[in-house]
Amino acid sequence: MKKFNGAGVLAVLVGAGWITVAAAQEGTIKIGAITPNTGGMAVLGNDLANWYELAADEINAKGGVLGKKVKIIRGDATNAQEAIAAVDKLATVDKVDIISGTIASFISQAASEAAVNYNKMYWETNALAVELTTRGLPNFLRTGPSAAYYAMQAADVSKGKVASVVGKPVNKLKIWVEHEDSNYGTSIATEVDRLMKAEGATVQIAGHKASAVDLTDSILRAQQANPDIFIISGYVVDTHLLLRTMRERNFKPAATILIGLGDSPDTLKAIGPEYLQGILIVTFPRQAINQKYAPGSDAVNKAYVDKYKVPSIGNAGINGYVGMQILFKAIEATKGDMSVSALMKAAKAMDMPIGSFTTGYGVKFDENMQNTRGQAVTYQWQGDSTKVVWPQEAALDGVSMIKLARP
Amino acid sequence: MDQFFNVVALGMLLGGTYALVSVGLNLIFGVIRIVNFSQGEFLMLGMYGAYLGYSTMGLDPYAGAFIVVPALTLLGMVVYWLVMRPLQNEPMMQVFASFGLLLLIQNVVLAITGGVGMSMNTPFSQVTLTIAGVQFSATRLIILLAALVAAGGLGLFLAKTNFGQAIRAVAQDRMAAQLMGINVERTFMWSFGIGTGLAGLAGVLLTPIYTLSPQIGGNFVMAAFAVVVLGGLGSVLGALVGGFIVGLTEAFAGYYIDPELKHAVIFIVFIAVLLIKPSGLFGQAGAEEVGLREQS
Repeated sequence: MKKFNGAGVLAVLVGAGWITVAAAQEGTIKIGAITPNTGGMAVLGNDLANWYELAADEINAKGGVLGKKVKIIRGDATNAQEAIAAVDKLATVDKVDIISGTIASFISQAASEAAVNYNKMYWETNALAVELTTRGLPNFLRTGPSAAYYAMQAADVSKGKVASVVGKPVNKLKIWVEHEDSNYGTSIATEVDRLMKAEGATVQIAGHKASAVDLTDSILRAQQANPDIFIISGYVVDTHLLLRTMRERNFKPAATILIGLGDSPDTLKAIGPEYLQGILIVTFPRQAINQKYAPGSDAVNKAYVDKYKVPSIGNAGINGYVGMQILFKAIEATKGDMSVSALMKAAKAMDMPIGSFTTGYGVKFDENMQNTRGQAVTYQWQGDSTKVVWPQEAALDGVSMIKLARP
Repeated sequence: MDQFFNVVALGMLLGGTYALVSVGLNLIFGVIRIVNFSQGEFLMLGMYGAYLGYSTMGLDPYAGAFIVVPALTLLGMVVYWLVMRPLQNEPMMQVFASFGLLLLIQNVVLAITGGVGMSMNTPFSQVTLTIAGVQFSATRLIILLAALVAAGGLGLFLAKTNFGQAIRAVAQDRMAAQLMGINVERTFMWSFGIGTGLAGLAGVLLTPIYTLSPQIGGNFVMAAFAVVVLGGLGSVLGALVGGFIVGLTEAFAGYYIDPELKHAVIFIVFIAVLLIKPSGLFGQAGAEEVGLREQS
């Protein structure tokens, strides 16, 4: 006699999305948050999870999503193996409806592929590697900008503003892109190279290890090339080391652009305000931004401080907060159906203009399920703080780009 | 041509950094025959110690060395006594224990600091000397001098003092040394402590250059292992010379070939030296298996 195959039936039910709908109807929407809460990226990971919780608190205070409370369940992952284990636990023990995250692309890649096995939606808000959305993974989308959008913003500010400040036409600009050699830094460098070469600029790209003990060789090579714009795409330790070495070697390119980081109090402490003056940073929109461009960002930054008693340390957290808000809207659109197919369909149908969220994002997903209206902005060190200077409409009234060259 | 001399200067300064980080590691291996995987974490503790003095008392990191180095020497001695000594008949277990210490120290610091990057920006860290067109970072120059003083001082200490000779005797043959009345366990404890103290000194002097993170020790220790093996396991002079070889190789490969390939070039040189002289430049054959015991 044939045995009853419970697992098979369960798989069919999960596949059809019926089980997830039933779980959600019980009264709580459980969202698993995979972030690195330990290890070297813990600061960013915890900050992102904090912002997810803030978004959940706010929606719960308004009665929740479709009358159901949202609960964020944290899952720690610092590498691919831990990511898979975290997905296993979130899906089977915590029985989450949707999984979200992540800070690092390599964690996102492993976690989202593991989530396919449980037919869970992987709602990526923060990981940057372009390849994440071009893999064709059926359960994956990204609400925030990818590395390509960082590169686009760096190219846009170079063309739109820096060239005129430097006093050269775009096709006469010499650009050096110094990047850490993982997928993250390389993808940004490659995209800047493509975009600026298309404009006729001369671009050189050079890689280095983020864990290098010394980067003087990289600076000597760049110094020899005498670029007008020096772009750094790295992590914290190597970016600070490059800036310190530039200062030591009296390397003063006409403009310096940091990508992804370099706007934190720690950078100020490490390098000092004198050398930082005028340096540009391409990053997620978060503070010191025009409220017409990013409505409510001041209030939500204050809400973060009220809840956690410290300012948000990462520059990526508020991007996750917005990603969570977009998710809540998608769940409302599906009327509580949290199956992959329903959420993907709802996301595809979303069409919200730029400026709809506190980071200035809108929502419109492309064919790879990358949000095309999640954009980076350019900050500049002015005094001992950073201010948005590009795009123009994102800058605070009265703020404009100051002199770019180092003192 | 200026650039050539700048690259030579860079290699020498970098070599000083590697030498300073490696001297303590080599002492611990040479005497106790422990490959101490946690050496980078003691360096990292030195950095955080200097930062703590700077941020809470406004203490210059170089002045902080007078507190941090003895503190790390003491900590190393305690760690030896509590963790390594009970495993002294299990050499492999000592290696695993040092790996456990690595994870423990890293995670404790992570829990305390929350993983936030910490930096200091002292006036001295911005000073650069230019001699005949060749630039020297003052902070790295101090590290180079410290490496020379530490290696020279350690060499003299081992050669000229009674306790230094006792350490050498234990390193050569612990059984014979014990029969001669030398307290082997005390010697091991002090050797481990001096080794971690030297890591602490390296950490303190490196603090003005780097942004601190709980994982930063790992950035130095991989190169330090290459230096120690290249120079010869257990040789203080080997650590110094190995440091300069690695530093110069890295600088030339980084500038003239490609910064992304410099580590590959270092390990090509490393393999080439070992093929020609398997014991390293100043090491003794077989030391990688039995330390210096039964060598002479």
